[in-house]
Amino acid sequence: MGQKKKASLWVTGLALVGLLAGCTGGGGGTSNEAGGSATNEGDTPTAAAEGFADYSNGFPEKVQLDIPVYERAFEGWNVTDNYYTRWIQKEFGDKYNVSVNFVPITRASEVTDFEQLLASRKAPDIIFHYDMPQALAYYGEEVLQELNHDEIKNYAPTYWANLGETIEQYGTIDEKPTFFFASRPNVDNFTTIIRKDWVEKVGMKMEDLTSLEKYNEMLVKWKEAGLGTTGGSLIQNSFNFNYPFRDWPFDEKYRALYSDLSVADLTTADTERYLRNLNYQYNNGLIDREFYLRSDEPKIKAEFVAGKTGTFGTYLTNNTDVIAATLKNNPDAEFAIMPPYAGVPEGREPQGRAYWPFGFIMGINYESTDMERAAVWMYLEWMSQPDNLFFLQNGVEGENYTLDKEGVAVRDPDFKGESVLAQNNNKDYWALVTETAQYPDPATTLAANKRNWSPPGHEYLADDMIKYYDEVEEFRTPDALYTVVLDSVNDYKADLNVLFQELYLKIALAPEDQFDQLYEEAKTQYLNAGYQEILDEKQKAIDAGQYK
Amino acid sequence: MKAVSNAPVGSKKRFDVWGFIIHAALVVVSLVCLLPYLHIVAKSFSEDAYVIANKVYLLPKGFSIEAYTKIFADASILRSLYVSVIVTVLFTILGMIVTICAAYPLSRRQLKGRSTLTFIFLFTMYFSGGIIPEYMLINNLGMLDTLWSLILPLSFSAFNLLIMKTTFTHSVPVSLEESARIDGAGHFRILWSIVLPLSKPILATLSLFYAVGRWNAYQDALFYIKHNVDLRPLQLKLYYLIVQASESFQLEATQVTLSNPEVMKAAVVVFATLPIICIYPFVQKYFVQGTMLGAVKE
Repeated sequence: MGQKKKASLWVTGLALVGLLAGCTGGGGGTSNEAGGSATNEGDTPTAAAEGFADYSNGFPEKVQLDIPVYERAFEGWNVTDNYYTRWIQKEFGDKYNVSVNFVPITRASEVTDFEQLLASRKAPDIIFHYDMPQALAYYGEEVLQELNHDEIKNYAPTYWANLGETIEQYGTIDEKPTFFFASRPNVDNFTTIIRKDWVEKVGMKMEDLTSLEKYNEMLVKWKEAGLGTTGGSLIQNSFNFNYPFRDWPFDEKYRALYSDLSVADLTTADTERYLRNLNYQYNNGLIDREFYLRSDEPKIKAEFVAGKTGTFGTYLTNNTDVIAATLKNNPDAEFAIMPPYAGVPEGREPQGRAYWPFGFIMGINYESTDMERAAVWMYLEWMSQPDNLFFLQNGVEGENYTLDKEGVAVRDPDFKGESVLAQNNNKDYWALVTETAQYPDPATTLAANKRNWSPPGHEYLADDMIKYYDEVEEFRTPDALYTVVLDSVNDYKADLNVLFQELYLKIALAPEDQFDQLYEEAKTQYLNAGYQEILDEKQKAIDAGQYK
Repeated sequence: MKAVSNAPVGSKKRFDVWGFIIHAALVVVSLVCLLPYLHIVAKSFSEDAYVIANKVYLLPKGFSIEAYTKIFADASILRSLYVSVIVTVLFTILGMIVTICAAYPLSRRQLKGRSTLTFIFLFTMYFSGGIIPEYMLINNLGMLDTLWSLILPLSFSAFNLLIMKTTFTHSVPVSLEESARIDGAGHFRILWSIVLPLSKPILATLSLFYAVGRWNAYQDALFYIKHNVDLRPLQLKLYYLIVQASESFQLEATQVTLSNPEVMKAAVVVFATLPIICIYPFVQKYFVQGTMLGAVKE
């Protein structure tokens, strides 16, 4: 027995030593590699100072250019190997001795994907995100290298001409040039559809919906007539819910302090007004009783399509299935665009959040070499050429589309040939330079957009949407953009988002007489959970003028 | 003609309360398993408009097989099916070889220190490195984006080893082995000609455990298969189809509807589950026998 025990100790000891040895081996390897990449980073400024190598005839050695592309799992679409990726390789890659590899990034979990790829040192040369706080988080993790604007100018003059100003204005963090961008033309097709037949059934007209009070009045009538409620959903990200409840004109510093898409504001009077209205709607049965369970679009859509709710916020597109599906379930349904004033209390203005003038926010992977970085600029330059961009956006003339007399590409929706576009018109490839397709003049662009936005047989919806968009133009302003990393935001935002959800629902679902007490308690709890620290850090940055 | 009664002679059927409760509980539990699947099947054969409106429950509404036509026209789904089949087959074969080769020696009394070795295997069931160290290990071994990352790491299961070891110990009498040895058989001959043929039920059961486990798993593929989309197994493909565009992205200008139709998703779920459902009935008789093995000690 004693011998047995000894033997077992021996074996366990051996196993442990083996494990430890394994750990050291791995660590050593990593630190060596890290040393290698540091040299690359160090090279950047020297190379810049000496002028830039000429690669216009191609790189002297094959460059591996890894470009991230959103994976949206479209049926029948291979995101890394298709007609267009092969075309890019042929037209750009082969010309400059570059091997263009596309790295799929799952749209719904992009940060996880990037972090994993970064951890395994296989991240693409470009690291992108749509949202500034997350882009700053990448910067904070030191996975982006410092840029040289002259280098971009040198290798990508067309791209720089289009976006240089934006890059200079917004791309510098802590005085280091870090980000470059895709352009974002001033358009938006996110809107709210309302059941026009319901509005008219209760004796009202669309023009009557001039304020939140009127809208609530109509909801009461909907309820009395047994029609349904307004649609609702769980607030879980992109916190821009209280803009219509804010004062106008606004105080710039106040807005900088409290506007943040990534962290909700629970403590201001604006949010209190928003919550009071939500609480009123809930307690009086005017909003979807289970709005807090509608956590994604299909769930919200299901209620609208089934005829249980009368409003639905969505991107209005010509291939939307919501109209046809609703008509199938409710043959008498008629639709209209909800006027922006219907969500605004009397005496206030239809404020909204304007987009910043850029789409993708991009940085260069800290491990990318000088040549890879140059290849990125050349790729952007190549894609900025109108012919290349138009081909990527529209495909082959005569197959994918025909040009109408206005010069707008009219797509053949039934085309299924080899050069078929991805379901979102290849946007994930060309979004590196622009967020929406543009024609040389605004009128043609508008005509083309209208085609994309008009559901067949309901073209007036796109017209109304554009009309309202233009009407409230002056009340749409962009948030402040900080030029320093706000550590407290990165530290607390995940926890605060969870807490916000818990607290706002508790307040919204409470009986009306408990509102004040619950709201006061929630404010204290939220501030103590980290929001106060965020406010303090933001205030400091605002006082130091570190925002735009 | 006399009427013939089917009732057993002399036995008066008594209402058995416990029997009823047990049956009722079994029915409820089976329905809990069955209904969600029926719901998905019904959705996959319905028209999109009714599925979007959540109006399809257990019977299809507006019958359509368009989604299935699309699946068979989609090369990437068929490619994923192919990957899944290859991975599952290799994984199961390898897993069984490794498990048998570990279980047989550990079940023999001649092996010195076998309880320590067993403990070391057992230890891994309680403690493991966790996801991040595993990911780093796979990365350092250069297995990311290869089929091996889906085959090797999980191919040995300590749990299955313990079941098999117990079965070998108890189902194959030592005297049988001794008689073989007298006839001049070595360990491999004994394993191959005596132990394995006598343990068919447990082999079938564990093969099924391995195969089903591998077929249904997607998390490791989610971590390890990133660059090479051609190596995505079916379950991972399914995962992408289901999660994609499940939230709206407010900062992204979208000019088209981005989500795949609900019917399509349901059809892929059915498509991915079907192979397992087809295999189960054939292995089931071994399965029942096998899980009972080693449970009773004589």
